[in-house]
Amino acid sequence: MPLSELTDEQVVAASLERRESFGVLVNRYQERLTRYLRRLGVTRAEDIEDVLQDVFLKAYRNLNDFDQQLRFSSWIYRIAHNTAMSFFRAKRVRPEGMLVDDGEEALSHVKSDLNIESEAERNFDAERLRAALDTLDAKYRDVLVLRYFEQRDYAEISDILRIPEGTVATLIHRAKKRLADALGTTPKNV
Amino acid sequence: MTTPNHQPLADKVLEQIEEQHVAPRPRWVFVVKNTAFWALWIVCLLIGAAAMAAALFAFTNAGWEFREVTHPEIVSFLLENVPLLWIVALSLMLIFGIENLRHTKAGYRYPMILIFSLNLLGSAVLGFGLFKLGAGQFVDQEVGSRIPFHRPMLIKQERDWTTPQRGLLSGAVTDVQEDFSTFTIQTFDGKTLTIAGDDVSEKGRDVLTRFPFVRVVGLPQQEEATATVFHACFVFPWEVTGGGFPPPPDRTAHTFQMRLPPTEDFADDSPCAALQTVQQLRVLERAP
Repeated sequence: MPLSELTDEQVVAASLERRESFGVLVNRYQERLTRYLRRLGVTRAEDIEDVLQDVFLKAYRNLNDFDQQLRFSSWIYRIAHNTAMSFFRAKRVRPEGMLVDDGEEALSHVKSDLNIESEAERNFDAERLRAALDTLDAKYRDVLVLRYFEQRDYAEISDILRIPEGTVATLIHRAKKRLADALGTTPKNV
Repeated sequence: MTTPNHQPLADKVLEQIEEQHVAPRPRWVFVVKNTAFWALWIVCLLIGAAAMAAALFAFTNAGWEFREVTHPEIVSFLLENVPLLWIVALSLMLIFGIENLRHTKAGYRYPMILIFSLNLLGSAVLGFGLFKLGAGQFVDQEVGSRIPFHRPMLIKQERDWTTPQRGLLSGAVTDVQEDFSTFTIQTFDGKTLTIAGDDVSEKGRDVLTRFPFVRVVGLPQQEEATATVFHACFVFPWEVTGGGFPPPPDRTAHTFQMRLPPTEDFADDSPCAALQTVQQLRVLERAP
């Protein structure tokens, strides 16, 4: 069976036998992780490339640590998240996320999920959403990015950020409230 | 997708893997790492349990029943007898244990409250078992005596009960006159004292004959005026709860189940009538 038809987990096993197979995983995740890194705040193309290389080298070095009970995507996202945080610490910069080309889709998710009272208030654009997200603490921004931009479910977010699912739910609930406040919108009375 | 210098990222990564001789770390490294976190968690749990056993030992042997005699103010009693060292040790072990558990492979999935409760419960159950086996005394005395600023509970008790000027004495019963008019004890600091026992009740006399170590509540006397140095009013057994391997037989229950005549009040001319805590001590003496 060609490598391209194998699941991620099967490619991991193949990569342990033959390192060239690892290139398949790089190709599969390069774009997704690039978007994710940009959303986390790694904005310069050179920085993204450096961080991405670091992510894949770490992943390769730690292939035997991959838990087959996890999704490979959660595992590689975790490495990407941790590498990005190390990058920010090394550069001593506060990450400022940016929405990428598919931001409109995320925007509609956020709008439908924020329970905003009036139609007029719901009419904010991607730029305003980005500005509002940047005012949030990193812990809130991280969960919102994973939930609305990366379309990850609670279990995956739990695996990526290494926090219990209940904590993910709490963080998302609080993050939504803070985001609504930052956007200056009025939540619906439930 | 290509990188800014137009070389596909996959090729670049594979090139670096080859150039830098990067190889996947062997599986055993991760197994050892994960096992180490579990092992450290178990160590933390065991040390926490030992601290819990020592805290239970110190708590139960703080002399609560004699509190009104030894410490008129409850605040000073609590401040002196709270087993702070063991509470701090238990808390630290809980924190380290939780940290270790959360660093195991799937430890992050469990809510903090669950991990905390499990750790506390584990330390409490194990600690109670160790306390019942007598390990609490061992930890409090043998480990505690090597830690600066910590005084093991039994040493504290012995010190509190070797203060004849405050009416408190304790030690090993070495001799008892047949009519209980006097008896001698060797105090924990090695002195042999002759004590007047005229006012000791039947229950107190029974304690003197049955128990090797006793606590005596009474009044100091001038050596020049009497042959005795202390006038005993009450005698209680000196007992250690949760001490020794194996735990000593419970002789108190046997003693107090004996049918003894009711205790009478002190005569008006007895020096014991002047004791401020007579009522409390009588209640304690009559307790089953």
